[in-house]
Amino acid sequence: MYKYTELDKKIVTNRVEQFRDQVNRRISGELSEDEFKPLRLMNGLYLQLHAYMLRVAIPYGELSSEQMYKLAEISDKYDRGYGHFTTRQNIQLNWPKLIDVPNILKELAEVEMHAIQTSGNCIRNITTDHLAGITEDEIEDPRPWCELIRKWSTFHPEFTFLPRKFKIAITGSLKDRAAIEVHDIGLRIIKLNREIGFEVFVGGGQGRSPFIAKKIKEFVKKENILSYLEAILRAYNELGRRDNIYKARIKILVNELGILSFKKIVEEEWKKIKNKDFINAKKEIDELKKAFKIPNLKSNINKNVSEKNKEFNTWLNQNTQKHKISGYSIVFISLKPLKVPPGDISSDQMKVVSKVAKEFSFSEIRVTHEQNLILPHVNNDDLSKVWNILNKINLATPNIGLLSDSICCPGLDYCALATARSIPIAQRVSNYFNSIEKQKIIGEMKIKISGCINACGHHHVGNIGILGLDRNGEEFYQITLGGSAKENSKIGEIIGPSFSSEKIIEAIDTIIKVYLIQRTHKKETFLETLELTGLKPFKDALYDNH
Amino acid sequence: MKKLKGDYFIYSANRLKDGKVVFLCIRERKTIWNESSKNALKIKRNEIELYENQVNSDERNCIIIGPYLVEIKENGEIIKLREKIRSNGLNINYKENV
Amino acid sequence: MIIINKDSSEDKFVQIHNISEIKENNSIFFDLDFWKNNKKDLIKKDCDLGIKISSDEPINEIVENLEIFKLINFNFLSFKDGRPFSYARKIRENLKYENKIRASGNILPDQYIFLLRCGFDSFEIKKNQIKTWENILKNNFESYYQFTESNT
Repeated sequence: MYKYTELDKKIVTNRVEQFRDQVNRRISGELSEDEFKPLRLMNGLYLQLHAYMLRVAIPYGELSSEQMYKLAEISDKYDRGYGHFTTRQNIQLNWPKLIDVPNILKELAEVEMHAIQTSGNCIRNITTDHLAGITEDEIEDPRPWCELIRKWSTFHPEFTFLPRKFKIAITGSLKDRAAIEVHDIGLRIIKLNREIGFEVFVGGGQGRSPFIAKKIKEFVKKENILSYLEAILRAYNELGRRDNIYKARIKILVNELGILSFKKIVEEEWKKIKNKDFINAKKEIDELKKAFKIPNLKSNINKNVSEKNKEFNTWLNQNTQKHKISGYSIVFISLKPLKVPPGDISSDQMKVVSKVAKEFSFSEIRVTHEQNLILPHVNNDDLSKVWNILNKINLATPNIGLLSDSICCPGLDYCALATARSIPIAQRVSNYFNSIEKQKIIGEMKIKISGCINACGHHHVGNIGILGLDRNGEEFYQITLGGSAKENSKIGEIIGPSFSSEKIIEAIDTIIKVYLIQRTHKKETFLETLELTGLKPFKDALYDNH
Repeated sequence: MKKLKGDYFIYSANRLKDGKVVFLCIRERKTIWNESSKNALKIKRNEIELYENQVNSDERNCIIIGPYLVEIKENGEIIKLREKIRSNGLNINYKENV
Repeated sequence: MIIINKDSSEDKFVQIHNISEIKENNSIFFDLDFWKNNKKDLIKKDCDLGIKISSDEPINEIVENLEIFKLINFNFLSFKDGRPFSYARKIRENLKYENKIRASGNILPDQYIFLLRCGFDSFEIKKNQIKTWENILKNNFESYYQFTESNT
C-alpha cells in the first residue's frame, strides 16, 4: 500500500492548520458563511439536513487496517459510532461538530488520511477498479497512475475554481469496474504496439442530464497523460458555463460543442504544453509502481475449500473470487445486510474489519464504488476463519452482485438536496426479496436508488434504477430499466409514470416476475432479456389497467 | 427571495458550532434557539418582521447559519415532509447491525 | 483598496476613460471596450499601457498585442470565477509574458497562493487584508506537488 512521502505529510499537516485557522476566523465572524463555504467544501465539510457531514477521502478506495481502526475511533469519539461508504469510494461521517473538525482532520493526518477536495468545484477523488492489481484481466495496475494523478490534481493552482466539480476514474482492465464512462474524464490503460498508454473519454456523468462519455483520444502515451489532462481541464475551466449550476459540468460543454470541436480546442492547447513535466512524473511513476506492488504471496494449488457448513459454502460461492495468485481469494464484505442502510458500517464492525484485514489480508482493505468492502489477499486456508469472524458481526450476507446488493444514496433521511427518501426503499426491497435462494434464481441484478435527480445513487446506470421524486408533497418513485455502468455503459430508460411509496415494491416485484417469465434460459441476465424483449412486456405488466 | 406561502411559520436554522438543527423559541421574553421544534415560536405572516432583525443579527453574530421560515398549520404541525424529517431527527434504526 | 506588487514596486497605473485624459509619460490603464475602440490611438502614445479585463471576458483580443501591455489586470467578478487562473498561466508560460499580471475585484486571501503560482504578481486588496497578505508572501512554495513556472 502507498505510504506518504515527506511532501505528502507536509501538505496534509499544513492543510490541517490552515483549516483550523479558517474555522477560527469563521467562528469569530471574520469570515462570513459565504466566504467560508467554499473553503469548508474544499475540506469535504457539508451542511446537511440534520447536521454537518464530513466526507473523508479514501484515495482510489485503498484503506489500511490502521486507517480503518482510526475511522472507528473517530466515529466513536466525535460522531455517532458509524460511517457510510459512498459510490466514489469515500466515507462519510454524518454528525461532526464544526469546532471538532480541525481535530478530526489532525487525527486523520496521523494515519495518512484527509478530507481534501472531496467537495467543491475542484478535482475530486480519483476512483478506480476495486480489483486493481489482483485480477488476471488487467493490462496494467491503475493504482500508481491514480496516485500520480491525485498528486497532480491536489491544490492545483489553476484548477481549484472550476465551473463545477470534476470526477476522474481509471481502469487498467478491458472490463470496466470503475464506471469510467459516466465520469467527467474516464481513462482506460491500454497497450498499443507494445507501448502502455491511455484511452481517454470525456464528458460522462449522471445527474439531471445523464451522458455517456465520448472518446476524445484513442491513445495518449503514458508520459503525456498529465499534460493531456491539463489541456482538457484548461479548456473546461475557460469555456465551461458559469451562469447556471445545472449546466456547468463538462458533459454539457462537450455536448454543446460536439466532441470533434472540443477535441480540436484541447489538442491545440496540448501542442503548446505537451512536453511539460508538471510533477516530475517520470521519476514519480517509477517510485509509485514499487509502492503498489502486491504482497509476496506464495502461490498454492487451488484446493477445494468448501465445507460441510452450507452457510459457509453459500458465502464462499457468492462473496469470494479467485485472486490472480493461485491459492488466494478476494473476499467481499457485504455492507448490505437486511435492515441496514446500504453502505453503512458501525464502529464495532470497522474495528473487526481492521483486525481481520491485519491478520488475514496483509492489513489491506478496499472500498468498492458499489458501497462494499474487499479483503484483497486472503489465503484460501483462512477463508473459513474469516467467514466465521465476519458472520458473527453481520458482515457475511452472501448477496454480492445479487438483488439486495443495491446501491443507495443517503436520500431525504440525511441529505439537504434530496426530494424523497431512498434508504427505506432499499430496505423494503431487500426485505421483500430476502431469500438468498430466490435472489440467486434471479441472478445478477443491479438496483440503484437515488433520492433526487442529482443521482448520487447512480440510478441512471442501474439495471433497475429508482429515482425518488416529490409530487405535490408526496414521495413518488420513477423507474428506469436497462442501465449499466460496465464497459459499453448505458443510461436506463424511463418506463412510465412514477409509483407511490405504497406501490413501488409491488412494481419492482412485477418487473422481476416479467423477467423470470421472459428469459429464455436460466443464465440469461436481466439486461440480456431486456435487450431481446424491449420495454413492452414490462410496461404492459406495470401499467395494464387492472 | 422565494415567495412565502402559508399563514403560520416557525424559524429554523443550524447552530454554527455543532450544526444541530434549532428552532426559534421564546424563553423569559427573549428569543433563543432550541433543538426542539415543539416549543418553537409560532409566527403569523404579519409578525415575521418583528423577528427578522433578531434572526439576522444572530446569524451575523455567528450563533446560527442559514435561518429560514418553515410553514406550519395553525395547530403547529409541520407541513412539508422534508421539514418533518428535519425536525424529528433521524428516523432510521442503524444500530440493528449486529 | 491598495495595490501590492510582488516586486515591492509602487503602483503608478491610473485608469482612464477618455483619450483626452492621457498625459505624456503616464502609466495608464483602461478596460477592454476602451481598448477595442481606441487601439490605433493608444498604440501611438508614449505611455505605459495597462488593460483591465473582467473575468468573464475572453483574452483573444489582447493576446495578439501582449508585448504592448505593461500591466494586465484581471478583475474577478466572483472569487469562484476561476478563468483568470488559466489566462494568467497561459500568458506567463505559453506566451512568455514578463510584465505585471494583477488580480483585482473579488478575491479571497485564501486564494493568494494559487494566484501567485499561476503567475499573478500584483494584487489589489482591501486595506484590512494587508496583514494576511504579508503572512502569505513570507511563505515558501515547497509544499506543493505541481511545478508551475511561477513556483520558484
